[in-house]
Amino acid sequence: MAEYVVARVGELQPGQRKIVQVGRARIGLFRIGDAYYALPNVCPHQLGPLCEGKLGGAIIADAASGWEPEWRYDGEVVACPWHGLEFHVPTGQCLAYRHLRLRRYTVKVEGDEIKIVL
Amino acid sequence: MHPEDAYQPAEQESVSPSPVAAGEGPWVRLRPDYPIVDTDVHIHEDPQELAEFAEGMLRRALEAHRMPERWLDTPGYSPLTPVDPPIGDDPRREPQVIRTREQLRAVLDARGIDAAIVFTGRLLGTAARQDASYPVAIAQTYNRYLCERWLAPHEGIYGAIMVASQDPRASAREIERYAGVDGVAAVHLPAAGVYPLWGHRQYDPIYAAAEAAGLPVVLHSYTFLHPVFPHQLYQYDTALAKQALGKPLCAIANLVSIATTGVLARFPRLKIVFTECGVSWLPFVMWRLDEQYRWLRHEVPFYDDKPSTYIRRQVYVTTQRLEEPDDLQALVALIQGAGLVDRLLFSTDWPHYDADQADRVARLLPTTWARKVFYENACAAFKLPHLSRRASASISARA
Repeated sequence: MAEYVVARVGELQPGQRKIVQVGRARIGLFRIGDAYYALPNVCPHQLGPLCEGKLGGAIIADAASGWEPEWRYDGEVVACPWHGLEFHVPTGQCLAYRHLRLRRYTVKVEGDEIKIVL
Repeated sequence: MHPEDAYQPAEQESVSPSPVAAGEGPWVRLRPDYPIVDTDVHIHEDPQELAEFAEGMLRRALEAHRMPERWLDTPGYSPLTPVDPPIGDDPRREPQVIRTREQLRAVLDARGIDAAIVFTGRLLGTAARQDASYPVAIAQTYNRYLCERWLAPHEGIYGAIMVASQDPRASAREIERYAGVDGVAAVHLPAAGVYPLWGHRQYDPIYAAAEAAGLPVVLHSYTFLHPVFPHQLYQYDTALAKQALGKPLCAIANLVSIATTGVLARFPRLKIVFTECGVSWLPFVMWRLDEQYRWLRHEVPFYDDKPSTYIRRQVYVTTQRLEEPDDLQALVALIQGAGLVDRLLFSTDWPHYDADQADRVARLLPTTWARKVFYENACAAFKLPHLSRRASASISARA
């Protein structure tokens, strides 16, 4: 395992993200609230630049909402710019396929540095 | 083999393979240790007899207008009338009808079929009516008649009660009324000409009642010319065009409606059967919905997986009229590839002019599927509590 410094504290505001290259891996680093998340910048569908897509919430309807559409996960869902496949950033869960969950890289904040563990 | 050969007595039956299957032999006689279930057989309601089961204003109207046969016809549909007037000799057989339970049992026995689910012969088009009172009354009349004159579950004769799309609350009550009646195996939702399509939320009371009763709903297709989508088949000159497209289009329109309004998510134990539209349309719809779903998931926010997952969980399709590609493996691969081997239900549509026969279905599909297609899948889809082997005749299958 190796740690790579990919950003400085204060560089990203809540709701911002940056794409970083770590070795051969292209990774999306997200700041949501005060938490950081890192996901592969590759959509499992057709390898589109997933993490560069629109960051927002998602419409969900289930028994809890009486099957009426509700806005959930505000600011936590990224949609691939190629075909719109939606992923919940904090968990990596794909909203369209229950069995599809993205790899999540470990993010460490140490001093002024934000590091990704590979 | 011409459809008119269907349901001839067994001793007259030829064991030679049908033209489509020629060269695909050798043939074996399928002598299953499980009962064969035909999931789509049509009775022919005698108008005067049916009138005896009418109540209130409908009864009065029927007694005042004693018209043989015709009062049950729907504009655009009459099962005793050719689809189009034939030019030259009509190669089709004379229409056959089945008028009594005894006649039905005898032909089932002769054809090696142990149990059948019967559907109306005359009332497939009631959904096209604009008013609610007539279809509600006629459904109630039919259901009383069905239970009294036809159902005999211990003799392998089951039936589907019918409801009226025009009044979902009355239809839900009708389902509740018959929920525990022995021999009621399903709820027939008249599909031809229905508006709005069967996915509309106004039908939720019907689905809730069917799910609670443990009864599947059956959408029965037929070729029907009508201004309502998808029945505007007027531009086609030929019955070939109308028949080829009309039935699967009816199923496709309604399944796409059901799959995109959340019926499958809101009623996860509901089973939905599509009848008389062949099979190959279903993989197409599943794959097409899945393909578009990726970027339009937000429009169907009740799904957390692709639509085909839900369709495969809850939707069944009957075999008639099963497609016959030159390479039968293509059909097998299509069904297998869509994961539908457990969702395929044997049906004949007997005695309608394009009925399939058990032999034909058995020859087109792998013998290893026979137990599922002829028996197990029907048990999973329908309420069939008293199944047993009854018929003495056997059917022939691919070795």
